[in-house]
Amino acid sequence: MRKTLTAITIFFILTIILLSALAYSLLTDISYKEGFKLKEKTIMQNRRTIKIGVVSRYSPSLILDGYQPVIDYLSENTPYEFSLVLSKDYNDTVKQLKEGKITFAFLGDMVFVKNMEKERLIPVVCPVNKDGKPFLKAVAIVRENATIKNFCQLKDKTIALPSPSSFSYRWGILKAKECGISVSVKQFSFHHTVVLQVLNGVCDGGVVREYVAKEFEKKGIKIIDYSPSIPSPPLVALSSIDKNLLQTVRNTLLKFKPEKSESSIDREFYYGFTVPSPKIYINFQKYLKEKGIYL
Amino acid sequence: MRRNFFSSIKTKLFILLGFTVSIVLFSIFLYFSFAWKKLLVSNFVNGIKSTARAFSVDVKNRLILKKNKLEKSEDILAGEILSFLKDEKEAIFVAVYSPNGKLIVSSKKMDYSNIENEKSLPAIENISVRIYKNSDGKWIGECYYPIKSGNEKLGILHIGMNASFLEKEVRFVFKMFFVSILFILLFMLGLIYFLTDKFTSSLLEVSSLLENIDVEKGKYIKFPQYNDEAGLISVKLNEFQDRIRIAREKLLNAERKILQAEKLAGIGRLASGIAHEINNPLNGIKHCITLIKENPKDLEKNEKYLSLIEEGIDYISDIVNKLLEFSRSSTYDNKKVSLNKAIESVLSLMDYKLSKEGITVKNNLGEKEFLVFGNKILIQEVIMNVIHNSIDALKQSNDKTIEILAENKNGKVILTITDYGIGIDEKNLSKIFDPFFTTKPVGEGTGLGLYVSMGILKNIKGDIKVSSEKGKFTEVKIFLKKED
Repeated sequence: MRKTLTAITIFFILTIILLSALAYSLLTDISYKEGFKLKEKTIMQNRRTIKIGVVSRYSPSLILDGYQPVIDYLSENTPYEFSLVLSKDYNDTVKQLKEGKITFAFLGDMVFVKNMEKERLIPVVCPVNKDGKPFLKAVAIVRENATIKNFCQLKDKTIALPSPSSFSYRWGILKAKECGISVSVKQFSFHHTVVLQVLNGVCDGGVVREYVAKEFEKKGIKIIDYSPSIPSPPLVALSSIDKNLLQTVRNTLLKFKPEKSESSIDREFYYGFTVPSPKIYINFQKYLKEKGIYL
Repeated sequence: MRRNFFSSIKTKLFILLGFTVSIVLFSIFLYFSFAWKKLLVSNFVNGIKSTARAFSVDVKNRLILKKNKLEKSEDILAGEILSFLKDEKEAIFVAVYSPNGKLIVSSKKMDYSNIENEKSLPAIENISVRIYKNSDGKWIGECYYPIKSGNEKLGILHIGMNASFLEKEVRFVFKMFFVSILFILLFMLGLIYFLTDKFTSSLLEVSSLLENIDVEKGKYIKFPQYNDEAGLISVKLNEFQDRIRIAREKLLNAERKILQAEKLAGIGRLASGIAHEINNPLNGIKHCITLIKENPKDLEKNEKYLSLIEEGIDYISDIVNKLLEFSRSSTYDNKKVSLNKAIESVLSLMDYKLSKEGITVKNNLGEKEFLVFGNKILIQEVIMNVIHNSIDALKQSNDKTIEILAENKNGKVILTITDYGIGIDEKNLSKIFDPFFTTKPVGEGTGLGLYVSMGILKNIKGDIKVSSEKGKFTEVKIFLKKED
């Protein structure tokens, strides 16, 4: 009995010591590996690459993340391979379109109206708003806790405006003139920068597209004024485009229904596309002329 | 009483509970150590992923601009990488690869012996992290962060961070847990020891009290009352002691009765001899009285006859006194006894029987007096029982001699009584002290003589041993405590 118990005790203590040493050895080995899944080699089909131009209104990554889902959708649902080509401004994009370096381009409505006749551009599709209409609005924004209730109360205030080639910029200037107020203007390249400048108090107010403002509406921004509805910025092509390609792209994008929750897609495309009537852009052109906005 | 340490309940309980607690604590230690390590590694991995994710935003912009030929991004990327390395103290290197794994820019010192491998990377599909020990024995954490937009793959960001501190933290955690568990274990073992000691203390107390019981001396213990199981044992032991006490008293009474009965039986065996011893002087007395009656005036002769009568009466009186003394119901009062006188007294009572059987007793005690501790009457009874047996054994023998010898040895007086009679069968030697064992014809022996003798001697710390050879001799050694 005594010998057995002694043997068991010694065995137990030795086991604990050995297990401790083993545990120490295992614990201090902090080797780790996760992932390393290699890309499967896919047989690349010889597909024609169609390039679509876009102006880098925001940071390049934001633009790419916002537009790439549409490009991926087109590549997956047509016999063509689509790719985005970024440019620094609209004029470069129009130039690339004209020179055939790109086949399609996402243009701002102001740029399209300015160039549609001169460069023989046609609208392929344009995004719709939540009512399914091909229109959008520019809106005046202030901070949520500001006492300002409409644009005219921005007298002698500093307002942030996006690119001068955008309708939002032009409407901001026009609205200040209509209110007969003087404002100090700070101009930024991107709509999102305008919102952030208002949000962090650098500027008292600003003008951006409605869907950009809506993104921040419950995050410290409130809308105090709306512009009249203007046509959505279209995806354009030269009128000389291959009609089959045009029809394929149109038909495919008309069926586009993005998964909002899962995608980083630009809010502009949340509700899909429609084929706009050229007439809405002609009417918009007339409106601008009436308001003395020269392109 | 010597206790076996390993077979005690306390030890068993301590070892059992100690093993269990040790195993449980060790399992807890292992579980928490590995869980903590997992947490530390997971934090590091998340940290390196977050760092890569944050830095990838800048890299992504640069890669997009590079792809669209809007700027020469290698210069800007290199600047951003160096700036990142400056800010991120634990970062070791940063490299940017194209989607198909070609190196664009890197802060790594190239291994020129393996430069082709260093300049290209397998096309990794998802965010991948690994922690490994490099050739210098340092732990490195690496993250491969594929930069993409939708399905468009723009490149792979590769960041390396120092992970040696992680190993130090894991070591520290292990040591901290190990020491903590060790202290807890020691505390638990101490607690278990204390509790087992507490739980078994009443049993140990009962055990130690049991050692004080001496039934032979009539020493009993009153066991205390406990509230646990030991209390039940106490109650039962107290009851058991009462039963033993009563049984012992009954046994002692029975022994006394047996002793008395055996004594009376002995007297019965002496009766004819004693009657003969008394009858001889009585006949003399009667003859003297007759002579006095015939010649009452012969004063000179009558005086002589009266003197003979007185002598006869003294003789009878002496025999009767010895008989009375022997037949008295004895107590166990022990004192100094002269073994010589006790033998003489016995031989005197048995004189007639010895003479009748023609047995010669060689009393070799001589002048030297042997003093022993005991009760004279009981010692006489022992001697008488042995001599009775010798007389019976010598009935068929030619050499009718009984030898009596005494010697002092090792604080004892050894009285040896030897006869050369029929001896004892070897098979019966082991039974001669059993009560009621006898080989004598019915009516001649009770079978209690040696049994009673053994009881008497045990009571005075003495002993009796018998050696015999069938048909040759029987030697009885009586050991008595020497008294100075």
